[in-house]
Amino acid sequence: MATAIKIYSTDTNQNMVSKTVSNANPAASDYVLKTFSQQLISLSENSFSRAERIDTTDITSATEGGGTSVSGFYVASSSPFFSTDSDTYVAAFDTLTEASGGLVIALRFGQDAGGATMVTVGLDRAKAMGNLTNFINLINYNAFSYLTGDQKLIASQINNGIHFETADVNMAGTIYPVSQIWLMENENGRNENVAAWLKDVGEKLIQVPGYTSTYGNIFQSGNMKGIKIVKIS
Amino acid sequence: MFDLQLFADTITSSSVGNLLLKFYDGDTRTLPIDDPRSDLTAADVNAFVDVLKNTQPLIGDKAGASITGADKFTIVDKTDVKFDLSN
Repeated sequence: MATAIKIYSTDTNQNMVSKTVSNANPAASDYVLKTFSQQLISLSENSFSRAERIDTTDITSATEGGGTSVSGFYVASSSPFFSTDSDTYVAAFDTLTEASGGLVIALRFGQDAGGATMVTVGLDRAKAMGNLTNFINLINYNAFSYLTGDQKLIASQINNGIHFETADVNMAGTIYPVSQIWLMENENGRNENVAAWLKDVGEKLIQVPGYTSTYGNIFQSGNMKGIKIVKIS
Repeated sequence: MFDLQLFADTITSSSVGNLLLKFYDGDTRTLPIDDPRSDLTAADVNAFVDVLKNTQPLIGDKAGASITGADKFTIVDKTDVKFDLSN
């Protein structure tokens, strides 16, 4: 079992950033790991706000910021940040459901409580393609195909996971990040097969507290907290 | 369809401090520290290494050996320039 330490921070642009340090000592207490994190933070300009241990066997409920540790995979999201020109925000990961023999990731994009644009990406295609890089390319291709206006979604590989960044571009061409999500795997347990990876996560039947319905809790509150994954049959 | 329009070059800068740790089995491992403080001193880094040696929060990649010290600390500055190609 591998153990890592994940440290959270909000940077000067209010973007959620995180740092994962692999190979934490399994014998070390949480106090030691937090002491280490605090020392590391003291050397950095970043003001990391929280640190936690990630064990491959941990399944914990969502915490502040929507983070959930899932059997070696880390899922985290920031609350959406409102852009300056259109108050557009992105609710991001919504559901992982079965459809047409494959899996579908639904990405929700909304501008207010009543309006939303759904972007779906069929993972049956990703399964055929098979690896993380191709999956990321698939996400980017589909997102760009579906999105309209000045929104964009960028998926990229970061460490051993996927980083989704959504952004809004104003009239002057300035890009404002509005939401970021990480799907991270502990660094010692990398699995290149994304389809199996997501299936494994789906089977854990994770549901983030406070996020039990489709639109309601997300858009009415203006705060998206994490993800909802529906068990596949 | 998304149409990205950029109207000016974008310059961003960042830095990372790379701490090369040594382990009991001879393994070495670089611990990156994002955006190190501008007033960071060798004494600060040594104090941090002492914490690592005293508390052993990390283990080596190969045999899970304990930390014995640090070999060097290097700060690398990086500047990214994203050119405006719209004109």
